[in-house]
Amino acid sequence: MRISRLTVWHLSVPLSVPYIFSGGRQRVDALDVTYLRMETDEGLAGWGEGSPWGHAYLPAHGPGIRAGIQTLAPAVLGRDPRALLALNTAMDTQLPGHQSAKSPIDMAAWDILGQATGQPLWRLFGGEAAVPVPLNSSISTGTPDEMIARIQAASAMGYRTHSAKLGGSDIAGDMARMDAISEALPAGENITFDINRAWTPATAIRVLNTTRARDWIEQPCETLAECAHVAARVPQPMLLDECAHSFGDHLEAWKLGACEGVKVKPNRLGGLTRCLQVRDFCLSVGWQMHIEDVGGTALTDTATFHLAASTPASHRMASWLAHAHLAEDPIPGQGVRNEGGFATPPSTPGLGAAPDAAELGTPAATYEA
Amino acid sequence: MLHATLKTKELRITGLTLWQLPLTSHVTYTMASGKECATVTTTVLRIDTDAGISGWGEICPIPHYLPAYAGGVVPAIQELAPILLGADPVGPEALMAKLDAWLPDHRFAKSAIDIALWDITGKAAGLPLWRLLGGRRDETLPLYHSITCIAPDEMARIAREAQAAGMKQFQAKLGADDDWAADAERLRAVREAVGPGPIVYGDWNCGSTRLEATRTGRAVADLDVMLEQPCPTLADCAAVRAATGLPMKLDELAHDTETLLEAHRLGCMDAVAIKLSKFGGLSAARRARDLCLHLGARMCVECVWGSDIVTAAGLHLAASTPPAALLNTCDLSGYVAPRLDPAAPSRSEGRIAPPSGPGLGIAPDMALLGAPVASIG
Repeated sequence: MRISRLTVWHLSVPLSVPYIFSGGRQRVDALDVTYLRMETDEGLAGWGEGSPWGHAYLPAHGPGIRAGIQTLAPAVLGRDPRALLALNTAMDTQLPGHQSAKSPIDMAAWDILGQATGQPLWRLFGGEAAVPVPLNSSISTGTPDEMIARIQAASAMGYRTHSAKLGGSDIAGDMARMDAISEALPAGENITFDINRAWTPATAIRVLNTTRARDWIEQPCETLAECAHVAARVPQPMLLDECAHSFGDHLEAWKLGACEGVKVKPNRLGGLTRCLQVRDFCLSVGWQMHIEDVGGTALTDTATFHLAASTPASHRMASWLAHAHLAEDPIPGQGVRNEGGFATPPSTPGLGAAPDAAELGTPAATYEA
Repeated sequence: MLHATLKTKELRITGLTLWQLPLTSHVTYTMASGKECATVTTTVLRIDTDAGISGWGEICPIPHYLPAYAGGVVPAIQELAPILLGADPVGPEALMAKLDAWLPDHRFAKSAIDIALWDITGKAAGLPLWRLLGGRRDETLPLYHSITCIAPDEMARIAREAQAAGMKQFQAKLGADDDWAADAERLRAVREAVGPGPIVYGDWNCGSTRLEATRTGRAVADLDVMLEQPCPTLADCAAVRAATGLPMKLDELAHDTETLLEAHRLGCMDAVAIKLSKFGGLSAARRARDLCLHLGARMCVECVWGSDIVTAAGLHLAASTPPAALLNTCDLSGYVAPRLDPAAPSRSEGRIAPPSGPGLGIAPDMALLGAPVASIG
């Protein structure tokens, strides 16, 4: 089986509520979505998606994903899509780095492998059943009362795990938010305070040793070395996200004792294949994971929930439904959906979700063998 | 009188223009893992201002070599354009910090921007960039000659020819045939061809392994040679350094403050390549240069590839680096055609001097550039 054609679409999908980055770096009104269809000479076709969360969050932006696919295409066309490691090695040789451009290609190849074998991806990833995965909310920053109200609203939608965004320049304000939210959290619910690398190490050490909260802390500082320095000096469990891009970064984090868990995201790591390697490493060293993506439509969410559902519940924390933030739905009714605070991946072969190409408009690019 | 006016008036960026053109190597470079540098695309950037001053930048990634590619340059600069247009270009680091907040990393594309901002800054000040980067530390700078990975005796011949033209430093590319013993022969042949004295080092461009690089290194451990970037991780490189006892130069794995510090901690950075686009331009490379002065690593100050704009930028930083810390620099524009500015510096007796005009001191031949691929603003 050979990859015969890649077709790329560019969609702009508006957010229900605009997202403001800390420090006002960027206001995101719409996601820049890249859909990719991978066709083969045997008639099977798979779908992938690459949707960065704006351009200021990670070293990824929509036009760069499409430019990356153009550069990767000659190394991808003509290959057997089922040979995932060989495909990823070829992509890494063709273009070092630029993982966000590789993720949609890798996702589409997994979709084909699933269809070719007649298996849903959760089974190929090692899962026993299409288990419902608990959902993780995303709580934007505000006053303590505003944030508690947002958490209560998410609770009413079934969410039992929350991710609250902190990290202003107001240290006392962050301490007050953490204390108030941690104390107001209903019994049985969990919260992670996500700093999105906004603190210096000294600020992190001051805040985390002063607050009464003992909940998870995520990505307090910019670099892995800074986060490791903090982790050794504070009482809370630590999650890493933006500073881990490769398997080697995770190995280094483990050597440094920098965390007890990570976010596992295909667009940051370079696709499901790379996520699978990191997932298995996390299991072997006892780390816990949030398995989700940096942003996207229900197509991306479906891929990440296959991986999440296949991961032992002991090490899998809640997953974020990125498409819950969108005002439009390019694959209406398909793929994973919020069902009372849980979402369950499809059990049809492959991803189990496919956009209707006729509804996507004119492709941005087509590459043929 | 222009300068008197500029001191009271802030410059504003009014437009960005981008060109792309092929650069063809005089000798096709073959490296480990099937990497090759034959004809590659360079991107030239001109930043215009409301004061009539324009700055030039250039970025020319070698395919498959670093997380950088020609196809990503124009989209990244277009993404950054809203921050650039209307901004004050003088004193590049303030504006570069805003670009880093707007689009993380993409340092290869930012390198072209940063070089152009420095060109404007130098022209606004009426000074060549070496004056702004620390002052002239030497009249001319030592060059190295890079030798493509082919048969050992052919590489020895190239080394002798370059030596006859005055070169005193030789980089032998290794690993193209995945044969550790052939790599040892290459190092021995080049070392013997140039006789005692000149610096000889062998570069795997990450294409070897701990085992194979150690075998090669131990086979030539009796020679005065240095090993460069044998393996794809710092831990592997440090193991090779320890097992062979040979000095080591790093390139691909040293690209920011963290990696420089880690390489130094591991003891595998006797020398390091400070390539502008690997760090994100002159601003970031100058910070790396200043750190390496403290770390004690000898520096090769240059860029990845390209013509006269990136070559001049590298020469200005090299000229302002203390000679004792400067291993060498590279006349990249001497390896490729066309030359964007035929009047730009060329090598002589194995050495080269930076341009002396304000800013970069480079005036590209507009006829060579052709039609722009993008104009913004």
